[in-house]
Amino acid sequence: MAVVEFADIHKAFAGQTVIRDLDLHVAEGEWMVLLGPSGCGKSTLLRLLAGLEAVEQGEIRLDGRVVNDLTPQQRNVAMVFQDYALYPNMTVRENLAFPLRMRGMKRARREARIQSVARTLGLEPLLGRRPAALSGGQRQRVAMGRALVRDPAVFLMDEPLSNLDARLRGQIRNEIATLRDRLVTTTLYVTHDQVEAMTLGQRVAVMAGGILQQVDTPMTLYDQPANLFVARFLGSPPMNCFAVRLRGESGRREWELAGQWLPLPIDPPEGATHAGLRPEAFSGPADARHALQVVVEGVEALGHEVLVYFTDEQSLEGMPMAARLPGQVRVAPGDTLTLLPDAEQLHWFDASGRRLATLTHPICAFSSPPDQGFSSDSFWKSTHQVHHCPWK
Amino acid sequence: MFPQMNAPLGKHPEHRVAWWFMAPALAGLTAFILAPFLLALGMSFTGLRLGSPLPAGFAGLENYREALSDPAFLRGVANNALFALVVVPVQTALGLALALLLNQQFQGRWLFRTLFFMPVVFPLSLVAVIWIILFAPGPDGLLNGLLNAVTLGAWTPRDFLNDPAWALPAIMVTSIWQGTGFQMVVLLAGLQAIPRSLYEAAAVDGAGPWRRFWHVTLPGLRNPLIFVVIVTTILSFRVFDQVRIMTQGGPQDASTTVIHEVVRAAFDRGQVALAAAMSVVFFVLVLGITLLQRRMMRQEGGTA
Repeated sequence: MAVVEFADIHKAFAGQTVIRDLDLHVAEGEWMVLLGPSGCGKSTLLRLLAGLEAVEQGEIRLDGRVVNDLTPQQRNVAMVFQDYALYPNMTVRENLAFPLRMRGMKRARREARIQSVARTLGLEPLLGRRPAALSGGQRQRVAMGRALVRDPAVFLMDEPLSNLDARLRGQIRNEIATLRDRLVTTTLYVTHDQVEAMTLGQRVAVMAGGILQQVDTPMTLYDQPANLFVARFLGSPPMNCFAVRLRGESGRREWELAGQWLPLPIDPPEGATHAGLRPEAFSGPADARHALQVVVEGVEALGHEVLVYFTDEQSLEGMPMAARLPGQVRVAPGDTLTLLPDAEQLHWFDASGRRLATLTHPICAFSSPPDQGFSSDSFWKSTHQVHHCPWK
Repeated sequence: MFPQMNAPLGKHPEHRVAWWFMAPALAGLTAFILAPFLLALGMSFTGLRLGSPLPAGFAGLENYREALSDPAFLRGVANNALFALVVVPVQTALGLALALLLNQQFQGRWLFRTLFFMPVVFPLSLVAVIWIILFAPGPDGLLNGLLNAVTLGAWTPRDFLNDPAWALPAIMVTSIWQGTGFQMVVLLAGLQAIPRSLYEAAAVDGAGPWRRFWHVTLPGLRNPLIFVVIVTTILSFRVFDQVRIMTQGGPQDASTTVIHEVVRAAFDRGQVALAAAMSVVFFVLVLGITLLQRRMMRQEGGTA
């Protein structure tokens, strides 16, 4: 178990910056999920910690000791690879024994460790087989086992579930969650899957374009996204984000959605240029006086819920707006539907895409002043700093 | 494999098409491999001589008896065995070393790959002539001169190709120089097929460079290595061009080989039947070695 610290990490490949000025602190025994779209630098960060890539700028510390110049062998980290990287010429038993043999553990102790890990992961009947004779899920378990069999300072998992089919992924995700609660070891878990991030991470570090966007508990990320990127990256369908249009004085203020003016019972924060509303902030069909009339463009009936899509001209990047309604609602494309958006649940963002605190939410302070003006295009590749919520 | 392929050929309509597809290759194999071999087998039991006016009668096993008691032929077999024992491991090790070096990232890698592979493309006769020049006798010979220079004059110039102790080693050196590039290319392709994540996993698991080579590289190269060893073994039993051009098997049969003896018997002395018998003995030897090698390799690796 160890404390992991990344300090001012900068990494480029052939002049292409992959990670920019990154600071991250992972507490002892913590499960930290690195979440982001492909190419955001999350895997590179993991490989830097494993020693598989050279640190060019900044420091990586394990328990306060700088490990920049240590080889992977010297770092005592265990890693689960995306393609599992099982040794094809060795049986499952030999694969599990390999890291122990490399560290000179005696045979009897080795055997005991292997048995205990095999029991934990249900690998006992497979110990004599070679990787080629295993299913995808079994290989995944062996890869986990090869990491667990050691007593590493840190576990690193690089998209360990991405090669599995959806059903198996859910099952193994649950198993990993059980495992996580059983053995307390500092773990960095890389994924692009927000469900894995939400279910497995004690804290989640969201990355985009090589920049850390926000680090917090999964629920805080969902409820108080630090910026438009995080707001739209977490949640499926993502948060509806749009340019704000307001009219009227305080107390009688109105906001526009899908071309209609609706009463706004709250005061938007100063400088708000964009707003976001989660799909579940809509209710309907509504019969209220100030309901929103929308023409349904798309319907996804999922049984337990119905997702209804409609258009708002001001939507960010022209994305369709989504509303999440109860499963028994029956609508078809082309129908007119009355929806009641809950304006209390609006998230507000400034011109650079940063979250603005409202009176209805706890106040979030920003670590640095807003920089360049917001444009949806520049934002997604942009250079936003992490912000820290002081009450954490 | 397609399941219906297990049925005997000719049962299915597609099988007739399959025969047509195979026909060109089968015709070539029959005309150039099977027919000559059967002819040789037939001839080996006759008294056939080139240019002899006498009719070639049935000679039974006489040719085999003669071949197996011919000291030059036996010397050839021994030389071939020695040749294979030295050349196969040395050439494979060199090929592997070169492949490992050229698998690194560095400037001008393609140039070295080309240079090391070039001798494979050269005709053997050309290679032999180049090495005759290198092995030239006297202090002005290139190799003699070089050895003289690096030993600061302690080296006594010798006539490599006419020295009974040096003739065969000289041919081995020539052959290794010529053949290593082939091994290198096959092993290089094999190296590049080993997933990088295996090396990374091994490094994270605590294996240093030498153990990564032992536990990841070598197992990953198993099949290319088997291929390369078997092919080189067969080739080293077929060695002929270098011998013919560089030493003519001499001095005193010190560097002769089986094929060289076969050619000498058939075309220098006109003893076609004896040469045929030698070829058959040789065929059985090489087939036996190859089968033995394959079996040993398979046991070693388990399932493959």
